[in-house]
Amino acid sequence: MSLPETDLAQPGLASRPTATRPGARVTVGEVVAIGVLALLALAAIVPGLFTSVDPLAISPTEAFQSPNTAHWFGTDESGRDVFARTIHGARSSLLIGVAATAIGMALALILGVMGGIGAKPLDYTVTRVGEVLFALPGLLLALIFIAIVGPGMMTATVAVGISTAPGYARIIRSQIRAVRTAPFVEAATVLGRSRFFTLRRHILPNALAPIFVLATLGVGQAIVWASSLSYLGLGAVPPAAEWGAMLSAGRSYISNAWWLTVFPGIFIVLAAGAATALGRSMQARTRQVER
Amino acid sequence: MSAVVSVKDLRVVFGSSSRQVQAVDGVSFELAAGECLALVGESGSGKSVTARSLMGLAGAGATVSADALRVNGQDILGMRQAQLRSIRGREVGLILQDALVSLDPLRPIGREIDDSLRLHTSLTPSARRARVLELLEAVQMPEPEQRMLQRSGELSGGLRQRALIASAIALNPALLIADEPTTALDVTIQAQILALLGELKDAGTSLLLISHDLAVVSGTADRVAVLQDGRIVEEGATDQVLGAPQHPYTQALIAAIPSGRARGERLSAEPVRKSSTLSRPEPIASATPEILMRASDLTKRFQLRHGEELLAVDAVSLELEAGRTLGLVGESGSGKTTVARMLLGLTTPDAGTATLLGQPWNPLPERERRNRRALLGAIYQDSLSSFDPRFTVEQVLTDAVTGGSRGNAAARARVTELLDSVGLPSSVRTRRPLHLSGGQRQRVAIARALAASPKIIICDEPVSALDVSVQAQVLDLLTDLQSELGLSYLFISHDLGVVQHMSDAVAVMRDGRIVEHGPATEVFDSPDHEYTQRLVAAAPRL
Amino acid sequence: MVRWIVSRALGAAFVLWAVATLIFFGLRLIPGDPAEAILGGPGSQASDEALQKVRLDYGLDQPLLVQYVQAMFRLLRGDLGTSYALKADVAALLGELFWSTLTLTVLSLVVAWAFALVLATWATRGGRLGRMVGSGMEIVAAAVPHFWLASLFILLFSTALRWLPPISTPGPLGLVLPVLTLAIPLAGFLGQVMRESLADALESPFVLSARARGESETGVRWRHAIRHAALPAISLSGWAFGSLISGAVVVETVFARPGLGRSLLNAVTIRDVPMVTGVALVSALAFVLVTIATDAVDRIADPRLRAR
Repeated sequence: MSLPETDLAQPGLASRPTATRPGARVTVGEVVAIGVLALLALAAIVPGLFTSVDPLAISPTEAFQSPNTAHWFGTDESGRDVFARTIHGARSSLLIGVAATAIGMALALILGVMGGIGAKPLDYTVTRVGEVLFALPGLLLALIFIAIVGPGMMTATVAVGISTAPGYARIIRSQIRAVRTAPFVEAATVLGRSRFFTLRRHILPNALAPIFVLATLGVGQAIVWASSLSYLGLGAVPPAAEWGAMLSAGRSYISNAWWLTVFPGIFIVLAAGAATALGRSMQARTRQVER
Repeated sequence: MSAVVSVKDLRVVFGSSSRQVQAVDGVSFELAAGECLALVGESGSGKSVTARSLMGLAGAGATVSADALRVNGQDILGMRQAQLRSIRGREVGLILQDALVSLDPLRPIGREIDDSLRLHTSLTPSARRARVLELLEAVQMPEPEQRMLQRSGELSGGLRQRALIASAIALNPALLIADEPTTALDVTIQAQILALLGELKDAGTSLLLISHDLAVVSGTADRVAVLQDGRIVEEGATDQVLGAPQHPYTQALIAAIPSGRARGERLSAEPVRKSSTLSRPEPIASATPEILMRASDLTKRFQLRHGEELLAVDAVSLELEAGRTLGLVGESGSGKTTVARMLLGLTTPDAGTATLLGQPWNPLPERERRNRRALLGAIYQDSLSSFDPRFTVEQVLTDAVTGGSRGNAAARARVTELLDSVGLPSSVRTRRPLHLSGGQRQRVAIARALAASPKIIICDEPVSALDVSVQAQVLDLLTDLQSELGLSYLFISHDLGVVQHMSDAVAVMRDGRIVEHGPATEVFDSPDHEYTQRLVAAAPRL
Repeated sequence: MVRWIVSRALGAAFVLWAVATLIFFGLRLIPGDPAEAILGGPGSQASDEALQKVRLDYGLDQPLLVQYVQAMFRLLRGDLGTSYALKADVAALLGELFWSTLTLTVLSLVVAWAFALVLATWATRGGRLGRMVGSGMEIVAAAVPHFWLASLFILLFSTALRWLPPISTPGPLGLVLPVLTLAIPLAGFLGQVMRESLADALESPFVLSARARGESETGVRWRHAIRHAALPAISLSGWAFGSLISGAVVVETVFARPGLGRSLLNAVTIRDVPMVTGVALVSALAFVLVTIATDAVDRIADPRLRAR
């Protein structure tokens, strides 16, 4: 399930530009979300902190063990320790999530800014391009891309980035358009500022302020999509320790080895959920100020 | 005769034990049948909460207590929800401010009116429909059969409000609560709605009229109660309270009303600010002041959907003189703001020209105007949205002073100068405009407008969103600045009293055209044009 | 209204043409010889004559632009070509797949709406718990991948409880798990949107007016607030349908249910160009049509939009 990229769903973003209120209390939810993300980031950077087992080490005699004290999350069909694989999987999943979001945002910024500040014809063209890309919703665009370029972790990352770009571009464009007609931009004209100055100093900083929130939400979404592609066999493939790939491998043994399915999935939900929760709470803060 | 409404020592508190707000702090009054009591006060005075408590609708999180709270003999305090629901609509009706949002925008008004009938009577649908038509006729709604199928957004402001009134009187309640019923309306429509409410009162309904505007209630109310901070500070017959007010707050409120006050007369009791250190551009010359800005036959059309065209401004000509104020008055949709935008060079006219100090100003490419922009300043009704939301007051003013580059010591000194001249303390510098009060924000807007030492300031409804007492302070400030600095103002407002007080000359606009103009005293005391006469007649006065 | 439909239909036709063009040129970028792919891939070791025959049959020897124009004309006639792998007419194959996926997605949308309405009204009832549930709903909806939810359902309902089949069987019982998998996350999201606008509506002046007439809480909710709350969800339904199509790829694969999504996945994996093109076009068509339909419903539900 991915987040909608329409500005309708995020009314706080496509309306008046906002300013964060300083000093608002941090909520429990935010602390938990940041904590989870920090732990996962730690697992991605220094997995050795959490486990010393080699995620790729095969041990056929120990295959299909249910969770026990030696293997907290059990072992898979080749006897590999699921806990170690899950911890190591944080790296690929988080990396793909961040990279895909970066690619998507970069594309979205180009398209969105062109449409936002460009003249009518340019805006029209960019909007049409967006519409066309939108006609292939979600994974469909990613799949087409993969059909052309071939499967793999890199292509999956780029594919997710390309799929998310039109949605963000639309939001960025409408933000810029909204800010362009805002009263404080006109006030700058009355003060005698040049159009370029107003663009640099007032329009872009205000219109692009939500980008950070969008990107945070986007990372959550990208993690889900990327693991979906791996699950379908188009991204990372076993024996790589990536959550989606692990679930794909575990699919065949679902009736007798539930731990292969449950644990990596929980981590996907944790990672994506924490990113989304953080993003939504940041969004709520800026929206609070408007009320 | 027993009172229709009896309130003794009403107290309403919002919030939990840690953070409480005392909205109403011991209010007592009575209301007899066929009588109109006006609850008057500024925002936060508790007048709305008081009235809504009579229906058990004080709001979520409200704790209501009183020695007595009775409507038509029934004790509101002891009632459970079901009982409250049965008196709402049947014995008490509520009319809110803006019918555009006080009636469900998705439902036809006929349904909205029908609701009360459906909830409280057992009439058949056809009987109810007949009654709805009766009600619409009672509120003088033209073409009631067609109108009852329309939604509030499809009706004009006055017709919507009539529909809202119809829905409130459907069951002939003994008490009608009208909470700012005319604030969103044009002045001529306002007079009609007030007359309608007066007729209902004469027919026997008790009317509790809530307003921030003393002048509006003076024509309809028999008695007036003035509220401040949740308490009634003065109460009595209308003539008495308005003619000979006892309490200092009432006196200040009445003194703050600009209608009928001479030019230059102070409205507020604000102490004199540090005398302005801003330099005067040049001394005021002789009796014939210089004409700074001249507009000739400005015209502007707008394209609406489906190819329709709106002629917003139709051959408007006016002149702004140094050190003088030109008032521009008109109802909503008259084109005043479009004229202001053309004078500010924000909109290009379709025909006509504007000149600034004799040189062409509009239409002209922006780059040829830019270096003269320092001559013009502007302040608006909603000043908050005219500030970059990320900026603090310091940044707003520094940006205005330095033209966008980083501030230095000289800039900081200038900002201090500006803040002093508008009477703001240094402590506001680090705050964001969002966290200032309405009056403070307007002062920041004025300070920003003064930053470049302009000769002209265009003021578009600068005080319309402010409480009366704050409005008085801002108007006094503008007057003081004008005499100190020799500024020329274009003062735009729909409020005749304010325009009359502030202006030397006045232009009256209607449907894009100026129908009358001349010295303020002449236009208001003996208007020539029929429309001006109607406006002046409809304007509420004490 | 008619004028609006016509203009939207023209817009849709343009979008579909653009998609077809994009896919045509995009898929031509696939490395390798298409003639070889048709005959079974690089390992097929087809003879030169066979390759040449295939090229003639499929018109692969013509210049690219000619191929493009021919392809566009064929599209207009409804001819989507022949699947490389399945050696069957794509249009015929898609017919049944289309209905299968359509059933799945439409049913999921309806179920999601029902859940969302329940969730939204429930969440606005109780103060703090309601708000927490409300925001929690949407975060969970965004974070739970379809394939994991599907796997959990299979674990629970098939392996543990043995109530439902793990593989989608034809007939209503086989639809239960796939629909639930698609509907629940969407319901979480739609429910959050509805909850917010419901909360806004309940604080608005017209609701106060309704209460002042003696309307009960239930009446206020169902006669007034719900319609306002539903508006943004209606607007979102077009996008929601798109995300359901996207989700169908995973759900059909996990439950081995025949449909456009699963076929697209297979086609992409083996690079069956005509199939990929056909499925993508049909999905785009369905999506565009549903978007127009939801926009039409939107305009009917909110008369204020008609004035724009």
